[in-house]
Amino acid sequence: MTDILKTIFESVLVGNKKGVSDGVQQAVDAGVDAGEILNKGLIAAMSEVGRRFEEGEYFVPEMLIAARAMSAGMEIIKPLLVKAGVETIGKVAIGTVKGDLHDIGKNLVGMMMEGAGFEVIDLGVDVTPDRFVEAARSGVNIIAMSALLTTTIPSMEATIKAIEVSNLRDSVRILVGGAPVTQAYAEKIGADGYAADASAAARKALEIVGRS
Amino acid sequence: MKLPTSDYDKPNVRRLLAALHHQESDRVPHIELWVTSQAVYEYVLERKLDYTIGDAAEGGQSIAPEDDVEFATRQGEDAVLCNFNWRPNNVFRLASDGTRHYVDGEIKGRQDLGKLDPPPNLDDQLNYLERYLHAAQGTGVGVIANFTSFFDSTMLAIGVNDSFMMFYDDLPFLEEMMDILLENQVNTMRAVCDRFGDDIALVMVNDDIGYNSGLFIKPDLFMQLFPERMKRLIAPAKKHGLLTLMHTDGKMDNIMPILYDVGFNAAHPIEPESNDIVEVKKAWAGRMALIGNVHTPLLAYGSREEIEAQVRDYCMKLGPGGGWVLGSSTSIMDGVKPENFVTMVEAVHKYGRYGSLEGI
Repeated sequence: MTDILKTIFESVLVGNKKGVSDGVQQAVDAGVDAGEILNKGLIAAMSEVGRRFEEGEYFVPEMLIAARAMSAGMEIIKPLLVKAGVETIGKVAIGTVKGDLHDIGKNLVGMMMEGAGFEVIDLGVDVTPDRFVEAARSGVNIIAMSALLTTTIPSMEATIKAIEVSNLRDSVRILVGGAPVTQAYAEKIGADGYAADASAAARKALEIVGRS
Repeated sequence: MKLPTSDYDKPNVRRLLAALHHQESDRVPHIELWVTSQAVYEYVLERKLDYTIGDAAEGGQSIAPEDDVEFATRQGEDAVLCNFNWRPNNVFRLASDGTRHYVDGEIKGRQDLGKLDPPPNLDDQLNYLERYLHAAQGTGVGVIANFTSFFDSTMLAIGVNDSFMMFYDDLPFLEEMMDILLENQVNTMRAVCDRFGDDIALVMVNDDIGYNSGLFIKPDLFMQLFPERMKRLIAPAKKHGLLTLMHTDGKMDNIMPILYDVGFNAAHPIEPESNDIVEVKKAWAGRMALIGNVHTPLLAYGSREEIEAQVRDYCMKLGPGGGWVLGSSTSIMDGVKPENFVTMVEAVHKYGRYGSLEGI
């Protein structure tokens, strides 16, 4: 890894937003390929953040400031990636299910998935099954659903049924998570995976697209 | 539910206190710390309430003390909660199904302190507690004084997402907010203990410090912020010899030792998503009592047979030796079937009889 990519990597790890912006701009100015900045700088750093989170070394604040720093770098290279035709490793549509407005877990998962190299389409909160179906129809690889409340988890099952009825079940993989959700519940409703936290969700998504 | 006639089925705060002191009495006690379901209240009371119940922590109207005590008396619930909440500047929105949810906080920095919602009037709060105590007189129902705290209330006032980043961006402001909230709640706690310390059953503090992986923030930072402040908050209760109970969500492995060192005697609810309550009890038997943790989704979507089996299993594994009080894993909210709630209560009366339980 070159010094400048190392600086970007280290700046993401400590959540130094300005360090990441400056580093990415410097790398771009020096002619470093945008894909390399993405993969060896930003994504590699977020992968390390995920590892540290799962090891209990990092907590939610460290994950959030790292993701914020990464986003600052992404803003700079996104147009370059588009121009160069660099493809993301997959598309994820994420949302908090109908009847539920809680978005912290959903946002964290979105950030970690973006940090893993996915294009993340944030459907927001209180998302109806129909809206998830639309997303499935648009060609995403993964639908990720979040719920915080006992009273809203049935919306997950309703959404999976709606995707099945629309004959789209075979074209997407479905991940679920949130405080009252368990592995057993995920299996019961026919989801493809359950993740207990944002890092695990990103790891599951990588497994799904064969990048683990 | 009909009013119970036998002492065994009636509420008895001494039963609750015995369990919290790790002793057995006649049966396993049971309490619910938050009931926000109008349907469950009305089912147990066998009458309609002429007001609408909301979540007091979210600014809604709680059940009236007299109705709450009757609710407890009918089920043989051993104590009820009187809330001393100060959760300022929380922002709520309605979801498409009409339910109300916390979405953000308004205090984004020092510049917003001028618009901090004032705390509730202390005299009004004390009068409300007096109503509870009056209603509970002679019923056997204990009254728990429950206080919001400084850690999660600060995060909620700022907005959870923003507050997480503020641990790095502006820690001094976070601490300032914590101290503003703490100061008021210490004064309230002191007033409650000075005036009603002999009358209340125990003191509870409600502060979510963790989630399904453990603490929200790094332990070294948490230890800088939490223990000394929490010791200050519960000091009036400790001085008065009252037992103290802490509610926090989350995985308890690393949290229980902190609560124990701070001086808490019991923890609620030991969420089943991230804890094996049987293992937690084994680890903390004789030191920290547990309240919980019948899974709320089971109460919402399970069958009566499943609920009865779960309660029976818990009574067998957690009851012996005291130190355990049955309750749900979060709260009794809309969506919990009233029949299922009653099944849980009846099951603990059926299977929680001491003298017939096996140990873990």
